[in-house]
Amino acid sequence: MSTMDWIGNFGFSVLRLSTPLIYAGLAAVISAKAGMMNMALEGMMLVAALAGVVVSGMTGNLWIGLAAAVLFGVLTGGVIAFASISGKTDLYLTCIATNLAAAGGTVFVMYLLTGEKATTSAAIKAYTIPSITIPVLDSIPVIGPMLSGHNLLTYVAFFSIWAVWFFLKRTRLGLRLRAVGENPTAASSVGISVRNIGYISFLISGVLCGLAGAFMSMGWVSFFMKGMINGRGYIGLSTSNIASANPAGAGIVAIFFGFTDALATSLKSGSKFPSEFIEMIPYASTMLAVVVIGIIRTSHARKVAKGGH
Amino acid sequence: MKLKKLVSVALAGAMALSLTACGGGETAATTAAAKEEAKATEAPAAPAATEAAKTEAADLDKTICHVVGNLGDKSFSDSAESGMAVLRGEGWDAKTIEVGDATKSDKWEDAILDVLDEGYKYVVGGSTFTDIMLKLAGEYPDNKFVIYDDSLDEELIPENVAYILYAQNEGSYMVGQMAAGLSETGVIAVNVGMDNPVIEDFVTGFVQGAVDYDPEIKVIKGTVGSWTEPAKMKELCLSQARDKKADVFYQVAGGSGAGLFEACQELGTWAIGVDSDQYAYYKDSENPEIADVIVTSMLKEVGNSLVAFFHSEEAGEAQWKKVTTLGLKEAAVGYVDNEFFQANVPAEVREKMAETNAKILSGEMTVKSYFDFAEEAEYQAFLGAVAP
Repeated sequence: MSTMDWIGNFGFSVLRLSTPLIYAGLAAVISAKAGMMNMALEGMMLVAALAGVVVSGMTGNLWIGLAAAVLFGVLTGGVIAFASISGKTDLYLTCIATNLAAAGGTVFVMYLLTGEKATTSAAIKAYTIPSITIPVLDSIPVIGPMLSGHNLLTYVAFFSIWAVWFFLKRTRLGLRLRAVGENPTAASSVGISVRNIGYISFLISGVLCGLAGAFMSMGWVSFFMKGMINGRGYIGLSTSNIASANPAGAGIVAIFFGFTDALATSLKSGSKFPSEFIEMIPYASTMLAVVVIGIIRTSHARKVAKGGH
Repeated sequence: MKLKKLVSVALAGAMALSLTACGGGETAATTAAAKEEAKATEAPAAPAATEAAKTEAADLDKTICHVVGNLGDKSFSDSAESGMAVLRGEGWDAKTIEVGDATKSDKWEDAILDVLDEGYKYVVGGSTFTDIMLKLAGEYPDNKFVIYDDSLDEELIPENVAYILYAQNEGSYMVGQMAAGLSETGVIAVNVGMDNPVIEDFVTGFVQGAVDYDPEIKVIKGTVGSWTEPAKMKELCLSQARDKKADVFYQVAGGSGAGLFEACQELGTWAIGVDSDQYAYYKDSENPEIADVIVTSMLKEVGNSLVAFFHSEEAGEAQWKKVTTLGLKEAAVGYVDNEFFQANVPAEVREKMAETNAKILSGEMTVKSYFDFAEEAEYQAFLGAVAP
């Protein structure tokens, strides 16, 4: 295989690995902009992943399954919002409880429905969201194999980056959401309902997590497995933190993590490094990125402070 | 305030749900009181029983506590459980406790202690629980512990502990030959969930089988890093096909293995299953098309081995303070030889497999084991020599 083909295929792999991280990152961005840290991305994705598989298997219709994944993502977000906003529970504890309940609850529900405790790969008929070949683009070398032939949800993920940006910067609701995030007291003094905005942020988060979960269980692979999100929700959260809740930044950081993941995967086959070391690369690069961005930001802040005097 | 309460109750309910999901499945319920009573009547007879093995067998305390992480894996744990089911049919009181995966490891010891307090005599568990069982063996000298799928220097094994080790290298050797025989590109891959000595033993046998069949063959070994990460497994296989042209894939990866089958479906390559007959499992499932890539599975009959062990205990011949190794000869490992296998594997490959099978059975040849390597570097060199 020529190097050109390899680069194309490697790039394809990067985008596929980035997809769930982009969704999770954007979900975290929306919550962060509304002034909340949504730590329950992991649990929301897991619930959605199971719901998608179960409903598509039961109805025999892929799209109803996808809708169900989104619906259950939204419902889980709604439960968290209800508990923490209306019920005044601690947001972090609620999110942690949601993640734990999702980890066990999905296995419980899977067991009730199918009698399986590990995976639905044999018990539920698999439906996968189709991949799309883009004509014209497809025939361009390097770029074609990299960008064409992805799962529909991968394209939706990239569209979502723009959609979230548009929502936050160009719509009235987005402006209000940011206002609440900046200063809830000031926002409520001009008549914005902090409560409603909180709900809305979690529901949008839910939609994005629903799509991420569906991608995991109905796109990347075609079944649900317990714990299959494997920390991608948390990586999404750090994606948003590194990008200081900027949608485009979160997208770029997510692709960077996808890149390190693809690199680690390639290195795993036939390299002399211990696999545990390679396994560490995506997470270590997360920490490194956080530190580097942190240093840049503090030095920038110092410069601004100095200039002021 | 009322609302807050409602929410906390709802969340507590959700938590309880998740706990039930992990802790459920105790199969044989026995009242501790009844057991104590039975023990009390047996106690005076015990010293006399030591005189002859036969009487000891008659008075055998037929109670087993089987410790597993989670059932339902359709391979390792379920196989062990099927052995327990056989023993139950023979009058043993075998109680299986599911103690959960590694995230629940702080509760494993307590769970086993609870069952010991109920009066169970034998504790059976896989290598995951080795450390806890060895510790408990010291604290409970009257109980007996059977650790399967693990090994230890015999001098270090306590009196009341027995080890059962499987020669997974022998079974993997057989499918390794087949993989080399089926490969058109001359590159095959073995992808594992995580690295540990038993898993490395699978890899060692597989690599050796492949190289013995075709000295030119290249073998890639990949590690996913989790037993429940099918997505990354799929990515790993696709990258191996893309970068190295691998065209036969062997999974030793628990739940992650399903990702390997999907990758093979997408690539149109062959897959080899592990532990149980995964072709049969998928063939009569909701997704029978998955089975069409699984040309065979390497078998590891954990359940049979446990049944055999307790039969020997009944006969007073069980190997305590020892490691019992079970391989092709004992039919504890092997490969699936079904119609699908025969239809898709060329006759010459099958003949070669049958030939080596006979040689291993007769003791004419032995298969290299991971446990034979003096140090890790030697094993790494062994893998390095076949890497593409």
